[in-house]
Amino acid sequence: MEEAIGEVTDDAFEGTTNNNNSNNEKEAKEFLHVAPPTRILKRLVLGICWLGCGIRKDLRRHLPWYLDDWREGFHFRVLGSIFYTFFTSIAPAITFGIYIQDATDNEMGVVEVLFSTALCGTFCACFFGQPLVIVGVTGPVSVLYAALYDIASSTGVDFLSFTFWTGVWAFLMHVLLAVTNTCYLIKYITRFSCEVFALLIGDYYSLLVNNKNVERICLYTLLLLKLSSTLPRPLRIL
Amino acid sequence: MIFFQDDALEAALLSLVLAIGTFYVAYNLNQARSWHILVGPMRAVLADYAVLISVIAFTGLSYIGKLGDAGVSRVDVPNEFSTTASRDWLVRFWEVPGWVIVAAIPFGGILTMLFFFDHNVSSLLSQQADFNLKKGSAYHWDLLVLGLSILPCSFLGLPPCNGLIPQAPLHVRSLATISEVTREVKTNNNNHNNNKKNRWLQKNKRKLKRKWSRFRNNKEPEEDISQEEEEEGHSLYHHKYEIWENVYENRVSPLMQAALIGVVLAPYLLPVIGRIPRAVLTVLF
Repeated sequence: MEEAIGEVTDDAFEGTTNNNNSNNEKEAKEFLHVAPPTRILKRLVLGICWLGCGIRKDLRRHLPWYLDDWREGFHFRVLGSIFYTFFTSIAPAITFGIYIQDATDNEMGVVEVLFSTALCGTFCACFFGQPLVIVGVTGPVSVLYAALYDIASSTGVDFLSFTFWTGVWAFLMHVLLAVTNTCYLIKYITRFSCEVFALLIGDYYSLLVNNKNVERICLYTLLLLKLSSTLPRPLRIL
Repeated sequence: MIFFQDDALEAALLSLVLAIGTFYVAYNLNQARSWHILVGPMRAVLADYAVLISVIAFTGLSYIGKLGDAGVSRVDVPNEFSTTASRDWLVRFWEVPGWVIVAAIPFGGILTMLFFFDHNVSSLLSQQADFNLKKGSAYHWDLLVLGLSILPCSFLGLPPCNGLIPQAPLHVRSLATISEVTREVKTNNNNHNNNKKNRWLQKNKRKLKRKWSRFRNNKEPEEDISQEEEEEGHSLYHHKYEIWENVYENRVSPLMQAALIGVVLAPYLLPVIGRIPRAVLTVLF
C-alpha cells in the first residue's frame, strides 16, 4: 500500500532550474502538465483508508537522525547562521506586531508576536521532522487576525476568546489533515505555484505599508520580471 | 504615508527622511559583495547584516540633538514583559456564548488552509532538490506539530506561527557551503546549416566517419568523436550555477534563534525595541 501512495519527492523542481535549450522542451512539458483530478481523488481516498501512514513513515525516517541533529549543531558555522537568522526574522516580526497592534486596538501587539515566535520556534525546533524550516508570524495570519477583530468587535464578542476557539478548530483540522495523509498532494505543487504564492505574500507586505496601489503595481512588475525567468521560453513575456 | 495623517508636520518629515535613509543604506549595503573596497569576508558581513546596521544607524540618528524632541512615533511596547493591553495571559475563553464556538469553525478552516499551504510551500522552498539535503522530509509530522503549537498560542492569546517564506530558505542557505561553478554553454551556430545536404551530413557525421574508417583501416575509429563534436560551435554565454554541499542539518540554530527572540523580551531589552522609530521598520522588506 505504501507504494500506491508513493513518496513526496522534490521532482516538482527538476528541470526548472536549468535554462538550457535542451531542457526547454522538458520544462514546457512539466509546466503544461496538470495532475488529473482522478489521480488526486485516488490519493485522497487512499489517504483516508490508511490513517496515520504518512506520520509513521516520517517518524521512521527521522527518528534515527534525532540525536545526530543536535550533535551536528555544535559547529562554528552554525553560530553565524543563528545571528543572521535572528536578525532577518525579528524585523518582520516587529513590523507585523505593529500592524496587528494598530488593527486590533492594542488587544494583541508586538510583545505577543515576539513571544509567540519564541514559543513556537522553540517547540518546533525540538519536535519538527525538518527543523530547518523556521517559524514565525506571517503576513496572511496578521491580516486574518485583523479581519477576525473586525468581525468580533462588530458582533460584540470578546476578540481573544474568538481567536481561542478559532485556534482550537484549526488544531483539530490540522490533526485531521496530518492523519489522512493529505500532504502527499503537495507533490502537485510546482515551482510556478510556489512563486505565485510568494507574490501573494509580497502583496500582503505592500498592504501593510499603506493602501495605495502604486507600490502594489511596482511590486507586481518586479515579481513578474522575476517570474518570467522561470517560465518556459514560448511563454516568456519580458 | 500614515505619518502625515496622524503626527505633527516636523515628526512626519523626519519619519520620511528616516524611512528613505534606512532603505537607501540597507539597499546599498546589501550589494556590498560587489564592492572593491575592504576585504572579502568583511564585505560579506556587511551584506549579511545590512538591515541591522541601517536600523541601528537611523535609530541613533533620530536621537541626535533636536531630532530627539521632534516626537517621531516609535514602536509601542510595554516597559516590562506583559501583554499589550496589560491583561492576564490566559484568555477567558469560557465566558463566551455557545454560538461563538460554532461560528469559529469556518475561520478555523481558513486558518488551516492558510497554514497547510503556507507551511508546505515554505517547507518545499527550503528543501529543493538542488540543496542536497540528506535527512529527508517529514511533511505530515510537521503539520501535526504545527497544529499542536497552535494550542498554547490560543490559550495565551497569541497569533500562531507557521513557516516563514523568505526566511526559511535563507536559513538553509546560511547553513550551506556553496561553491559557484561557471560552465560554458555552446551552440552549434553553423551557417551551412541552411543547406539540406550539409544538415544531413552533420546529422550522420558519426556514422559516416565510422564507415569511412572501417573502409580505410578495417577497424573501429580510435579518436574520441564526442570530444571533437563538443568543440564545435562557439560559446554563447557563461552559465553560472551553485553547487550546495554539506548543509548543517541541525536543531541548534533554529532553537537558538527562537531563544534569542525570547531573550529580547527580557526586562531591560524590551524598552530598546520601543526606541526604534516606526518609519525605520516600515521600509524593511
